[in-house]
Amino acid sequence: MTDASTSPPGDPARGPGAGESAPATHRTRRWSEHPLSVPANLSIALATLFFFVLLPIRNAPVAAWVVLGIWVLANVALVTVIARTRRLAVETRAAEDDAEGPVEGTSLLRDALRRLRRNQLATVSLGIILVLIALCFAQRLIYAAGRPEPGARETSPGFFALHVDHTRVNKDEAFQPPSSRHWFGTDGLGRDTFARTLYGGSISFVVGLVATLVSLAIGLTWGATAGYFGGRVDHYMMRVVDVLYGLPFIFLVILILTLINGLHATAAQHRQDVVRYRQLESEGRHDEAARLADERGIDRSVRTAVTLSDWANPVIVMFVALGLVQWLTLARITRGQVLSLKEREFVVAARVVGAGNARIIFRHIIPNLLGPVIVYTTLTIPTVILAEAFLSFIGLGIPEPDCSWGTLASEGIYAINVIKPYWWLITYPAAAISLALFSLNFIGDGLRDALDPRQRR
Amino acid sequence: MNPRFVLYRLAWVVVTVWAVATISFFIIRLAPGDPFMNEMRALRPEVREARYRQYNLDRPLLVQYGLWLERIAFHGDFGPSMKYRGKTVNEIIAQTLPVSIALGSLAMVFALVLGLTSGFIAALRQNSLLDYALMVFAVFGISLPNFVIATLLVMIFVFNFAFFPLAGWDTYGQVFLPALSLSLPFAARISRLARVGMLEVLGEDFVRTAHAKGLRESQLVIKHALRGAVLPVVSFLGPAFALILTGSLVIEKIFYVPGLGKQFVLAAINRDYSLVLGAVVVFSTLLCVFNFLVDLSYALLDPRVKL
Repeated sequence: MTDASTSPPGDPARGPGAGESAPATHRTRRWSEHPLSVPANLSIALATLFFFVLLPIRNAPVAAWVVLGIWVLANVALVTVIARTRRLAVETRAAEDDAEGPVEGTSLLRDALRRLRRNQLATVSLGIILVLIALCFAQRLIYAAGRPEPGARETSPGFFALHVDHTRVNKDEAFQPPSSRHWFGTDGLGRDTFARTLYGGSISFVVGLVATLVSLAIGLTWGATAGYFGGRVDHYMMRVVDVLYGLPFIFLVILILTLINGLHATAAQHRQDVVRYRQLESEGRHDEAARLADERGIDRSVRTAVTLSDWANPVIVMFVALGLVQWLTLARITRGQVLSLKEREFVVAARVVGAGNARIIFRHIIPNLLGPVIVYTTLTIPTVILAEAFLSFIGLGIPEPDCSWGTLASEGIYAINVIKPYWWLITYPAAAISLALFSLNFIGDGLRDALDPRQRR
Repeated sequence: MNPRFVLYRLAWVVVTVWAVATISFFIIRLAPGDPFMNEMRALRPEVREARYRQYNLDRPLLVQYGLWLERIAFHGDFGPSMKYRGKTVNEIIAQTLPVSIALGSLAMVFALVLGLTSGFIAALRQNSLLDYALMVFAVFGISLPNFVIATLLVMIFVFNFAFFPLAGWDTYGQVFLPALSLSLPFAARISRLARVGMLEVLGEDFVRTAHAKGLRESQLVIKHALRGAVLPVVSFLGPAFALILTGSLVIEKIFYVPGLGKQFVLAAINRDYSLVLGAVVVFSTLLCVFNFLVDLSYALLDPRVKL
């Protein structure tokens, strides 16, 4: 095995003509050299998505198909331009690279960005994930801005009611297949699946981000402390991580979530009585309070449940619980990095030159730590979203009327069977979650390739 | 192999299981409400008290904990179920655990076969179209949630072609789909690990030497590279087992497989204390013992690892 053949597929770091043999990779590498390749790839991917959304809609307006047609033609034009000017672009880029390489120093970040840009799967994924996030949060913003007055009678449902309002119940339109009226169909209560998918997406993204931040905070602190102090502290802190690794965490998370759900159910049942009880107590009418407690069965545990459920929202508990599961690997990565970095020559050299601790940490340790941490964080987000979907699926996730992709999919899966093929209820949420996780994983892989050229394979 | 190390690791298994059992015990007891609060009609106070006495629920929490632990540790008895009146947890576990184990081990076999073959093929044909295709499939497998894979398989094989029955657990056909959908996500991970491991070994000096001595490639791979290439996969088997356990919670629900995972989720929601704790103890024992075995086999496979 020579060096060239063990290097990774689609290796963006090597310039063109660095002794490759497979013609297929040769072509793709050339394509990714072109400045227009990123927008072209993204445009093609989005057009394909648009086609798949449009396809099942029976009475789609002709205008939509015309738009798709123009879009496809534009893509063809773009591809032709790239194909025609490819060689020119590659040569210019190579000349630029040669010119700037040894002369002008490049930073870690700029180097990484350049490598990332040439990774086609990663850039397309990045574009898709940005579009998805934008759509999901646009739905939330528009909904927050245009929420109808409760009880207001609507005459004819407009764009907002049909495509944005995820709470609008309409019994007459239950289980409608995808149409130009409801792009993704409706569920058993006549709620628009398109709006609900977007809303669920925003919840899923928030869960993924917040839980990842929780795990980042714990893992970084733990790992950095262990690595920085070293010795006995390091030994014991890492022992704790080892022990926790062996625990079947997901079962504990399930138990914690049932505990919280139980708290909420109890609290919701008894909240009014408890409020009344507290009022009586504070007014000093202890007899009446005791009688009320006796009648309605509110003992101390019920009162604690109400207090707890006021500040421990199930969604927040889920963030924390999922974050707590994920920090272990991050702690190990951070610790290993810090441990090896603080002994490295460039750190010693910096110290010799007279750099202070702060300068060494911020200028030398953190930038080098950042790469693996960013990569791991990017890969944690899909893991967390997946875990949330899993918990929602077994009925412990986001409670009604809120929804996430996991709850939508689990509702959908029980709606399909041979007699009533309500396929749209499962297909769209599942497709959305798959698309998001797929993209996030590719971005993570791409970032790993871009940020850590040594570990690349 | 150092027997002291083996004993030490075994002690850790016991401690871990005990820790998990204790944490779970207190988590589930801290929840308000009890197993009898969702009965069809409210229980009369006398009945309720009798029930409490029957299950020791009227004692202080620590006494309950001591009794419970003593019964498990010395008699292996998880006590009577609180929801399935007249059945003990041991009976329920004895009925459902074999199903889960059958499903899990079949999934493991599928995953190992699929993952290792595709990973090695991808590594041996590196940078070919086949390699790319397999790796894109692998990312699919990692990204797609378990239940999406299961639904896809159901849509294709049950609704479109009617190859397999949808649900249940009586015939061999009914075992295939759940096991396949349980195995695919982690077949994908194994595939990636196997590919990386194989590539790494193939780049090493002793492989080049063997190559230079004129060994045929098939011989080279089988005799020299395979052992080293399997190592990352072996170290993944521990987490993979945990993954299969959690995955089985979902898969058993989708395919109506009467396994322990389904019982566990139901019991957690119904607050069937004894059944939940029994399931947690069984699951964590399985997991810890499996991790222990993986560590041992790792030492056997890699002479550089000293135990």
